[in-house]
Amino acid sequence: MDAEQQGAVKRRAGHVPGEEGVWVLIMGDMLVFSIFFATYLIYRAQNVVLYTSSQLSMQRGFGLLNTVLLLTSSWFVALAVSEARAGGRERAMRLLLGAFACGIGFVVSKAFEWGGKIQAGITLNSNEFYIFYYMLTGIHLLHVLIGLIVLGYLIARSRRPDPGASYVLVMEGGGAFWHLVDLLWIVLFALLYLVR
Amino acid sequence: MNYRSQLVAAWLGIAATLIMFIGLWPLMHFLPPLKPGLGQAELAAIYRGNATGIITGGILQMLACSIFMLYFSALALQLKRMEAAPLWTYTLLLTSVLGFVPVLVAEMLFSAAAYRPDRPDEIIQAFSDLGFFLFVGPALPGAMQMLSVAFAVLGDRNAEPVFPRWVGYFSVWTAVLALPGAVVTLFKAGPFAWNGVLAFWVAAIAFGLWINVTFWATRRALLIQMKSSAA
Repeated sequence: MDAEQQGAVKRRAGHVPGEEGVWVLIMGDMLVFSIFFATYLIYRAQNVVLYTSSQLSMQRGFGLLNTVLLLTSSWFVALAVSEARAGGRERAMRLLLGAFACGIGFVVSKAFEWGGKIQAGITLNSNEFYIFYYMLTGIHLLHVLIGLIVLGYLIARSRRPDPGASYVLVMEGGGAFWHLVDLLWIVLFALLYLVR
Repeated sequence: MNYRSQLVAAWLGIAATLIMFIGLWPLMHFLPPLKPGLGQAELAAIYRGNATGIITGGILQMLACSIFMLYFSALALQLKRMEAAPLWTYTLLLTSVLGFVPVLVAEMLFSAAAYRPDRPDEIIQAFSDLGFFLFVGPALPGAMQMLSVAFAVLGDRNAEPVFPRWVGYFSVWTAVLALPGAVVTLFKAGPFAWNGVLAFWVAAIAFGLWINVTFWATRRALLIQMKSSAA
């Protein structure tokens, strides 16, 4: 799809990507994570020294790698959705495979990060910061896993000889969910790894 | 068809929520829940000081659990209309039982803790701990109830969907909200303990919202059925 066509898609007045209901889930989930983040910051404010010293053990390299993986996968998904809109299902499918691979990469790197922490004796109840660290990254990881199932479904759907009338809608909705997973990680990365 | 009875059953869901709340708050004084970190003597004094309130509150909550079954049957009847093979209908019914049986047992444990004021403090504490585990712990069957509704709604192929599709996505959202309740056994303080912001308050509000939204959708669907059967 060339730039002009993409512009045309964007200009469609009042277009909500995916079916409207998906946005109940996405907005709701953003609200939940806002509550998680606010809770974290309130607890943190009461014991800044503990949090700051614990945060020094965060490996920013892992955090950054995770961020790059998710951003890349989001980019693949965005390209796949515009391919789907233009009718290029074959290419959309290959782009989604790229996004899926990045998502798997995220899960693997998280496993290594957690594994390293656990080997170093840092576990869930080591202190309050690590409760948040394991729980928030854990709940996010659950979202990544659900997102991978969604991507898997989109890939399967793209491979069908007849993807059905709702194909573009499903691609947009699933894509929006994956972007949410990405967005939440970026805030989580900032709060756990960067804020000191 | 017995639409009127179904409508009453649906309203009983709201009644059960209220009864549960009355038992929990003014009678048992369990809102906010007792802190997991309370000392044995302090905790035992609470059970001894409010024995009658805790026991009558427990009876009300068991009543609420029983009434809830009618509500979930009414909800399941709507789910059944969405499905060709009622997989999610059955899952909703089974997980409703799976989720509420521990709550019923929790009330008995709270009552047992209050039953004999001369019991040693540590036994009262053990009953109380078990009670709170069972009360807040069934987050996973609760989430499964919500997902059952979600999958049934999103899979609804009727020309005129039984529930609006957003109710499906909403149910997925509340299921995510309810999940932190599953980890209370790991913590004695903080947001994921049984009195924590995330494990208790957010999960409880999610359940309350979900009951209200599914009630609204069930009532709406029943009114439509009544209208079309009268026509």
